[in-house]
This record gives sequence, structure tokens and C-alpha cells, in this order.
Amino acid sequence: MNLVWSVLPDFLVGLKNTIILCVVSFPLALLFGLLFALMAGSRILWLRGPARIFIEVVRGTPIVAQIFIVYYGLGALLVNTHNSFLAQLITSWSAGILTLALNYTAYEAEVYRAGFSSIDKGQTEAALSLGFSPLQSFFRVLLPQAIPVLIPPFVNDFIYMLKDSAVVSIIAGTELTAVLMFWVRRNASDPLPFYLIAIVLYLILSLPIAYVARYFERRVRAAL
Amino acid sequence: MVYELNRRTFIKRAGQAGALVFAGGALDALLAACGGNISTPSTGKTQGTVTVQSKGLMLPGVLQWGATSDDGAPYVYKDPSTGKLIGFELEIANALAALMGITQKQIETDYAQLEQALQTNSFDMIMNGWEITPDRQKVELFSQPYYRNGQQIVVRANDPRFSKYTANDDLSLLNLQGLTVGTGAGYQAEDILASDPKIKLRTYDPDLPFNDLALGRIDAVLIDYSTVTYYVLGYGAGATVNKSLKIIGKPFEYSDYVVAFNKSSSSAKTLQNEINQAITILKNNGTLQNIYKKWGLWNSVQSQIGVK
Repeated sequence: MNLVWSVLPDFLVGLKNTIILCVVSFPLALLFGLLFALMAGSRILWLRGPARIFIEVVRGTPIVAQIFIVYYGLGALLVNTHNSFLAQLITSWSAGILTLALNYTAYEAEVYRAGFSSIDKGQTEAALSLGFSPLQSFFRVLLPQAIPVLIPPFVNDFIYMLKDSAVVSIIAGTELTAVLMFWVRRNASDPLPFYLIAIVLYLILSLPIAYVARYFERRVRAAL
Repeated sequence: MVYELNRRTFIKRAGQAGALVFAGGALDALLAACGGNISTPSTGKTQGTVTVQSKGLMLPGVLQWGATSDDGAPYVYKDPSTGKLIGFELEIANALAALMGITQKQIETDYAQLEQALQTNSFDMIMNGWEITPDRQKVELFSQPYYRNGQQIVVRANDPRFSKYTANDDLSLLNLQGLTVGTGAGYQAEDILASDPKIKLRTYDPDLPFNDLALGRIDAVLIDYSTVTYYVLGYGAGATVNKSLKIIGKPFEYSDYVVAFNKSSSSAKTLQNEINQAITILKNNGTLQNIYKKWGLWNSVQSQIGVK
């Protein structure tokens, strides 16, 4: 038990870093996901094509491979520019955030697409016939109705991201799983307490999020 | 190493790795047990004369040792040109098995899982640059040392901060204070670096930190000298001299490589004795010295552990 208290500060630093990674990456994924969803639903081939290719490539490849490509591939390319700013751009932090954000952009784009297609086409048609511009009809009619449908999958994906952020440990990041593995290696004869600490900390993160999300979902539904 | 995972929690990952190690070990033992009609990929010697007994083995006639060949140079790794396993520890395993008149077989296990795999009797022993730690002493028995290894500082060759140092200077952890220093996960250097709060430690797994050092993302690497012989100095098949890096200072913080056995296994003591006898012979008849010279590992401190 003494051991647990002595390593807890270390684990809390890891927890903090996991939170930072996700809190920065997820809004980026939501923003770019919306952009890609609109592009993928566009009638213009030059918007639709690249967006579909991006979504399928990212969804179809492992996040472990993606993080290596960003950290070592993109990182090495930038170092070779011999520009001191570019060369130091890719750190385990920026590579982690970039990879998580891009990976989840693809998933969130699909969530948006499913959400929008669940709203009756008549809604948009009615808005257009009432003289709304396409942009207005999207932001004032379609999006507000889609949000309650979108919240549950978003929360689900955010909880996935909390756990997926563990991949940052393989590029020498210092999030929760990296801290866990550090202590497991030093106490390999009895690693279980450390796994338990990490499990509890991950749960402490994800359970309240699921709860709060359910609360807001009810509120938003009631407001409509 | 787990490459093909996407949406999985680390819990699943840990569970799967554990299960894989366990299942892999069981399957291997099963395959080896039916060795009559299934060819096992053991790189071994033919049955020869018995100088040392091998009564402590789980499987008579096969010395099974756990190690990681992935990124395992120069300990045990696949020769990039032939795909065959090579490495100085593979040569030691061959020499040990030859003395016992048996064959040897390396059981591939992720470095971080070696201890758990030993506890589940997936193989007879660990031989993988393994060192004695207080934690390992709780559950493992150890052989006498077969190699004395120091920690080596590696920096970029063109880094002006280190231009005044040569490989013959006496440097220590103090010279790394204030710097960001990388090492491999589970290496002795990880513990050594973590003990100094003035050093910013970065731990790499499964990769080694040499890429990031060359790219300028870290200031220095502290790692086993034996790893440096391959990745920086270019000893061993497939190795090239890394011109962008250089070693500074003599190795320090020496510790010994030993063979580890499962303390809770009934035959561990017997095998420990037999391996100790075999290592003594290899130290005295020049076999170990020849292996170390071939791999660029030979230095004067080896005489301190009795290698002649």
C-alpha cells in the first residue's frame, strides 16, 4: 500500500497528460470531422473525392502505424528541411495530438454523416422553400436537430480516445499508460497493483463523462 | 510488440499479450514435445559429447531460453541478409548447449513480458542482457555473470556542446544533468537516469532512441555499451557505423549480465548449477573471449568476472 501512495503522484502526472492530449485533440477532431463530413457529402467531386479517400485510409489503417508515420516519417522530413522551427515542430506531444486528431476526424466525419442523414430531408426542403440560404438552413435547421443524435456517439468516441491516447507511450510520451509501463517494468514480479491504479484512473475519467453526457442529452432533447 | 491494434484499451492489450505469451509458450512446448515428426526451428548442434549434465531442463535435450530478437541486436537478432538468428548471446547459447550435448532454442518473447513468461515456465531461462535487480531477486535465481557491461553516453557527432570530449574521458551521470536523455524501456539505464531528477528522461519502446538522437529531439542517449557496439560502432552482421553519432566517455555504472531461472520451478536449482558449470568452462577455455572479440564487446573489465 505504501508503494501505491508513493507512485500515485507519478500516475497523476500521467493522468494529467492523458487529459491534455484528449482535450486538445478531440475538439480538433470535431471541427475537422464536420468539415470532412460536409466535403464528403458535397456534390463537387474535388471536395468529395479527397474527403472520402482520407476517411477510408485513416479508418482502414492502425493508429499505431499512423503515429509512427507522423513521428518518424513526417518528423524526419521536417528535420531534413534544416529549418530550426520546422525541425523541432514534431515532438511526442505534437505528433500525439496530430495523430489522435486526424484519426478521430475520420470517425467523427462518419458520425456527422450518419447524424445528418437521420434528419428528414423535408426539414431542409422546408427551410429552403421559406427562403433560407443553404448555409442558413444547415446551421439553423439541420445542425440543431442533429446535435441530440450526435452527442451519444461523440461521447462514446471521446471515451475511446481516452484509451487510444495510450499509443502515445510508444513514441516516448508520458501519458498514463507510459507511466504504468515504467512502474510495471520496475516491479515485474508483482505488477498487478499498478495495473489496478491505472484501471481506476481511466475509469475515474470515463465514468463521469458518460454520466454528464447523458444528462446533457436529456436537456437538449427536452429543449427541442 | 503489438502493431495491429486500433480501438483497444490497454487492458485488452495487456491481457492479449499475456495470453499470447502463455499460449505461445504452451504451443511451443507442445510442438517441441511432438518433435519426432515436426521440425522445430532450433539452430543447434548435433548431439555430441556430454561435458555438463542437463537434468534441469523442462524438455530433455533442448535448452529453451527466452529473449527478444526484434530490435535485439547484437544480443540475438535476425541477420538482415539471411533472416537467420545470430547474435553474441545466441553464440553463447550454442556453446552452452554444445557442452551439454544438446540443442538450444530461443523462445521469442517481448522484452517487457520476459519475466511473466519465465514465471509461467514458457522456457527454462532468460538470457537477454538480463541484470540482477532487487525486484527480480524476489522471484528469480541467477547464474554467475557472463558479461560485465557498462553504460555508455552517445551524442550527435556534430553537437558543439560535446566537442571537447573523447571516448577516453571519465564522464558520469553529472555530465548529463540538465539534458534530455533517452534510453530503451526496461534497460538498466532507465533506472539510473530516473534516479537523477536533474535529468529529463525519455523512454523508448519498442524503438531505440538513436533515431531521435540523430534527429535532434533528445540531447544524449545512455544505454548498454553492448547495444552501442551494434547501433553506433557498427559491429555485427547488418550493422553500419553511424557517422552522425559518437560515443563520449568511458562506460560507467557497470553491471553484470546473468542468466535468470524461475525460483518457483523445482528444477531451477539443478539447472542453475549446470549452467554455472558450463559458464565457468566457457570463461576458462577462451570461448567467451572469442565471442566478445568478434562482436566488439571485449574490454579489460571482463577479467574482473573471470573471463580468460
